[in-house]
Amino acid sequence: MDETDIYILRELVKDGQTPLLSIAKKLGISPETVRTRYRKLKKERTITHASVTIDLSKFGYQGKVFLMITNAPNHDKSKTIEAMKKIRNIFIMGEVIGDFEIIAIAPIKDMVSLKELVNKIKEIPGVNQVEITLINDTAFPVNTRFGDLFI
Amino acid sequence: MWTKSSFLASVRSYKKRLIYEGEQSPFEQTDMDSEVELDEIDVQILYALIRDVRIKLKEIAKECGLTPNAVFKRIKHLKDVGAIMGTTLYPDTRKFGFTTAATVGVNLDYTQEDDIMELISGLTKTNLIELSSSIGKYDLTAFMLTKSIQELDRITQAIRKHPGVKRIGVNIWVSEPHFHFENIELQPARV
Repeated sequence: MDETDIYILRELVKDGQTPLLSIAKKLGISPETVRTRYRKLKKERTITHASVTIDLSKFGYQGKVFLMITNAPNHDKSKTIEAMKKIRNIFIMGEVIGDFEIIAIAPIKDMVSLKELVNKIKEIPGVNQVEITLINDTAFPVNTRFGDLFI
Repeated sequence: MWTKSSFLASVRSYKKRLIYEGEQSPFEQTDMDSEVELDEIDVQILYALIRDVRIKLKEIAKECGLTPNAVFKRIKHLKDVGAIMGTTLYPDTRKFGFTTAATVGVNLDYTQEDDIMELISGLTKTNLIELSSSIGKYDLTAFMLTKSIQELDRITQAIRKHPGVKRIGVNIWVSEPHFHFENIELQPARV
């Protein structure tokens, strides 16, 4: 990664739809070079996702829930994760160590949908316990431009 | 069942966006209680943009059976009504030295919540992704990135020392989180 890559990343963090042509103009290099660099950054997964940020309140959601799971002893954690991948609306999930073993994040509409979601997770054989924390932020996926922190 | 207003009222939310200090956040939410009319085609466009925000208008147009110009207008409308708050990319944070990601939960004396939020924001200036007031297991939930376990430990020890903090729970992400943004359920919404 060199200064050109960093510049391209910075511009795209600010606005994911910045035309590569305008980046090329600002840098005074050819659009083809910028395109090649962008493809490389994606291919080596320096850029993992490029997405819109959506206000989920426009679609009836009131917040997000952190589902914090303790796995049952003698059950493979990766199997629990595989089963959870099939549950609609979970959009971030991963293995953690600390208070819990798996954390998943999903948006919620109301109490009924929250209860359904928790019950679905409890039905998975490897799940021992589910605890929840609710936040009322409706920005999807997150309310931050990640890259602003360090690029 | 919660109504929207009672739910919103029950959760005091602060979003400490230090990175936007001094400027208005481009993701500033518009009036949260106003829903707008968004049809199935709008939803289809949003899914395309969730998959890849750099998708060509031509491709979305083909998928939806519209002209590229019509797609452009719809995207503009989605931005105008606040359904699209912004566009960004997500870099692999480890490639920038942030090897440790943690979800940190704090249980606290409610009267000192503001003070504790200030403390966390100050301690984590360059590490804090999200900090929200929450209900349930934790009273405050933060997601932070650090360059080492030691750095995370320094931050959590400092939070622990605050007299209003009753308990702190640290959950360190041990592997790359699984992102499945397209798994979100969006349906046409009416006013």
